[in-house]
Amino acid sequence: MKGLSGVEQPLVKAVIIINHDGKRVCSRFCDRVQWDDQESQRDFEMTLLRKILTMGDLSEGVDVMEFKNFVVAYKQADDLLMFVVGGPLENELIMAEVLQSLDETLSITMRGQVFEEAVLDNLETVLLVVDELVDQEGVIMESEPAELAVRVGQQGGSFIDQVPLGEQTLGQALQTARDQITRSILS
Amino acid sequence: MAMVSDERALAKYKDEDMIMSPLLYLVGQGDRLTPEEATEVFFSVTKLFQANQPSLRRLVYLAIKELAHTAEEVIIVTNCLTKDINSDVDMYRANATRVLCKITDAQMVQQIERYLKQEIVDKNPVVASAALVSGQQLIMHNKGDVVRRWVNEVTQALDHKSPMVQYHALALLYLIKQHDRLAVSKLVQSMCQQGARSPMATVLLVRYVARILSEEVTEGTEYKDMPFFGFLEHCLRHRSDIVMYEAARAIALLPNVSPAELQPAVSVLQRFLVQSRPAVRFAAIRTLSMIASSMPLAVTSCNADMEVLISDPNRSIATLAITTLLRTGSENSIERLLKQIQNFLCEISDEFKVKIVVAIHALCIKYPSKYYALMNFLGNALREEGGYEFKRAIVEAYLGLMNKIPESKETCLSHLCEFIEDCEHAQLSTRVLHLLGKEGPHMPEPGKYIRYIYNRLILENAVVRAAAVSALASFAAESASESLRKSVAILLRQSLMDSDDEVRDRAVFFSQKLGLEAYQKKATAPPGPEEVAELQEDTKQGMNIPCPVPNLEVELTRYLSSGIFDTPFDMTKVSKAALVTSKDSEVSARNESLFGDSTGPDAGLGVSAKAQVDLAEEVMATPEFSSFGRPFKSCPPKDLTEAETEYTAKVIVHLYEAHVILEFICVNTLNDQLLEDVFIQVDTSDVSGLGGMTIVPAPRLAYGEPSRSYVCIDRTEVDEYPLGQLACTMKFSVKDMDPTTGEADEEGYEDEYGLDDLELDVATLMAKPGELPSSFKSAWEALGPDNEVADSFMLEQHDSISSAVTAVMDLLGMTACDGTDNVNDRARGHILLLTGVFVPGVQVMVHAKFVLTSECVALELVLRSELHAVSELLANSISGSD
Repeated sequence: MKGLSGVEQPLVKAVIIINHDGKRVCSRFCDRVQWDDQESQRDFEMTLLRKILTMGDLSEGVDVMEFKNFVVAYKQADDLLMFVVGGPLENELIMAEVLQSLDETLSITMRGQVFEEAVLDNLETVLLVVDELVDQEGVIMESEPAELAVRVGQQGGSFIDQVPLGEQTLGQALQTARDQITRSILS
Repeated sequence: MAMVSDERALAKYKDEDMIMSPLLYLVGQGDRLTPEEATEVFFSVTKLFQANQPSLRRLVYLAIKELAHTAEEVIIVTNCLTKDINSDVDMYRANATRVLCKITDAQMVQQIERYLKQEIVDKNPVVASAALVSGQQLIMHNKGDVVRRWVNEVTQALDHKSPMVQYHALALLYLIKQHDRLAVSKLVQSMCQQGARSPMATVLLVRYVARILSEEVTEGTEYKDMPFFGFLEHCLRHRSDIVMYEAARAIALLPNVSPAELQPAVSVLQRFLVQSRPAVRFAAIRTLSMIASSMPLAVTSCNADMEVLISDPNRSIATLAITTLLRTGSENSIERLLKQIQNFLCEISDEFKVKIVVAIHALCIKYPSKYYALMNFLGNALREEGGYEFKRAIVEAYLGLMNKIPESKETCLSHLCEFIEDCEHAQLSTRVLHLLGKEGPHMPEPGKYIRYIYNRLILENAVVRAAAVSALASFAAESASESLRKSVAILLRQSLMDSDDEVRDRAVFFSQKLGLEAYQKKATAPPGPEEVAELQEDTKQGMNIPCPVPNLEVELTRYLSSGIFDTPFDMTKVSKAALVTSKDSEVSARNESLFGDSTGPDAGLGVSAKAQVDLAEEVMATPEFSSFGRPFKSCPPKDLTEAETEYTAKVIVHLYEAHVILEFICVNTLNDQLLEDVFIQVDTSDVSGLGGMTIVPAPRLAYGEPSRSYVCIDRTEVDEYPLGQLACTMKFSVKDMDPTTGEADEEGYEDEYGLDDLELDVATLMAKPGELPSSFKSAWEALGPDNEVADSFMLEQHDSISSAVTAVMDLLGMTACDGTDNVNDRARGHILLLTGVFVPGVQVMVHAKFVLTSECVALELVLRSELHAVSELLANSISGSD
């Protein structure tokens, strides 16, 4: 990052969510020097996708690899691929933790329904999660999933709050209850 | 465009956040808005500030960050945002702060400074973090003057109960103080003592501490004795694995860290290797692999755990494990390791395969006795599926191994023979065929290679067929066996009628040249053994390019670009200096790097980029000297002035058989002067063997434009070597000039400027050979003991082997063979093998034995060369300097 001559704090260079065709669902590129226009961003997303497709089956959890002089944490969530990209000397575990908390926060705020259609339907939630997770320059804002979920949905902006209790499934209702308890404990 | 209707809709559906998502989606997808559209959308969005719905407001913030670009736009929203900063809803305050600090300018920041300071010490972590991170952004975008006044508030925030706030506060505080070393040191010290609660803040501290350690370490001190090192060791026992890993990595990256200091970090990483989370395993193996590249011994304790990782589902981890093991593995574990890799190799991508081949190659050089197993592995790998890069890496590995391990030659060749039987890459086939032609005839059973070559001749495309013809012919050229010559002749017969011109030409040429026609036509009697020997010698002479190929290339390029084709290109001119040794001094590609380094800092000022390609280019293009041809050697440019003087000069020394040409590159750094008739007066009285001088002045030396002036000194005797100091003075006439108009005075006056002395030493007269001998021993024996000089010295000013080795190499200017310039730090003895070409083309080789005694380094030197005088001169130069 420009202007920083001293030691760098851990920085996220990009948060990327794409589907299996390489179509962008929601991405935030923080390093504007590296990716200064849409084309280079798209390009990066596509090469990432190609790399992932050559790797065969992905494991369940968060994995890390070296890719084009970046450290990349990646995870598959249903029909989505999620990436957190850091510089070549970045602490791999921090990148993995950021991705882990992105995944968990989405799970909490979207009741475990993390797939492309649901994400697009709740895009505002996803955008807010990313915005509360890392700021536009890549500084990690908060990485505790429960806290993130609170910050995103604090004022009841999440869609589920508007669904009358009777129309929720039992699982959803339980989840809502659990969320509200968490919130009251944390805030 | 759909956007425009969207934005109209915005105005209508004020209370609907439904409209914001599609908008943000479009922005996120990167659909470009025209500036007008962006402005229109932006204003519609700002109207949504009237709505008081929380989630909608949050999206408005996001949209503003994406869309606000012009100054008017910023002013419009500033009011609304300032109002939100004062709001009692914490999420509004936090978000409004982040947005406002992003879009605003330095002046505006002062107006909201009061609120920001309050926010930093706010109880709610969202608010405090937002303000602290915004402070960082302000500093980084040079709007942060006010931020430097917040030290008190930020220090207070260090004690915040939220770990993330503590982290953000520490980052900001460091940013404020980073240019003040003492303040940073104090801050880090106090934080280390009280300990940070947040893992992220501890990671930051580890990074700061590592930076301080690597800056403050001095030679002779150990990290262990430095107070901050204890903090790193302490962090190795932190409860968070992020911190443990960060500390382990920081220790591994410290410059010149000792194995004992590294050990605790390695054992932390070792524990990580067996963790269930792949990210942890990856991080550990990546760092271990990095350590192994410089200190393999430090990592050997992890070998057993790394072997397990070969079957890791994450392929990146598995590959890193293998390449690391190949560096750290002991000699007797190699075979077992290879077996494991074999199964793994077909499952990974080419990129990883190449890495493994390179590692195997390195291993083979390290343990030559294991070459058989390793080569079998490579041979199997050659048969695997794989792209060009992969196969090329293997072929390269074979070539490298043949040079290093002579006894492996036969195995190598037979593997490569099988490879070309089924190779789809013409480039690799031709390379292997050429190699077979070169090496095959000298193997115990040359006949068996011929079958492989012939197969190519009947099955392949024209390029490969042509290479096969040449390879076959070289068997006939090298072998004295009648039957072998006969079979080659018969095999070549069909190529005489090949459909491709090149193949046919080669076949005809060799058939005639080597007297093979007799067998082909049957009519004439085959030549007798003596005649054959003569023909073979003749052919080899004709085939051998008498100078290194790079030289020839440089000369040909020069010939073509000169545009004068009255005289045909004369290849003997290129080789003249080199014929004696069949080596030449001038390898422009190698000089390039040397040159690049020496002129690095002032490359923009002085020498043109062209000169980087060929040092001698300018002097050869000068009409006075063009008839001299290419110099024997051109030395890298040497400064004769300090960097910051009125006039700067540097010199390139060109050595010829009968002359020394000094090429002075002068620069005038005064913009109010114009120099004319610039020349360098050189005093040769202290140097023997130099006679008359020719001076070519630079007619004009304008401000900032480098100009060249030459001095050509005749050498009186070829065997009287010019050694000693040359005193140089720059002489010129000055005209004062008006820097603004560029007009110079009519009248000038004479002036002179003293330059540093130029020293011609042995190293100046020594050139690097065109190609290093593949085996020092055989070249040494070929040179013979006739002109051998042996002597021993006590090098009293040296207390380590490595400094003595460097000094001897610098003094003689010779090149090390067989990697003998790498000295083990703890070695008590060392053998250095050197080779070089002395002006005007005398081959010199040195066998130097160093022994470390209690007071100094003892040196036993044996010199061999083609001239006794040269051997003595070089031996004397060492005693002279001692």
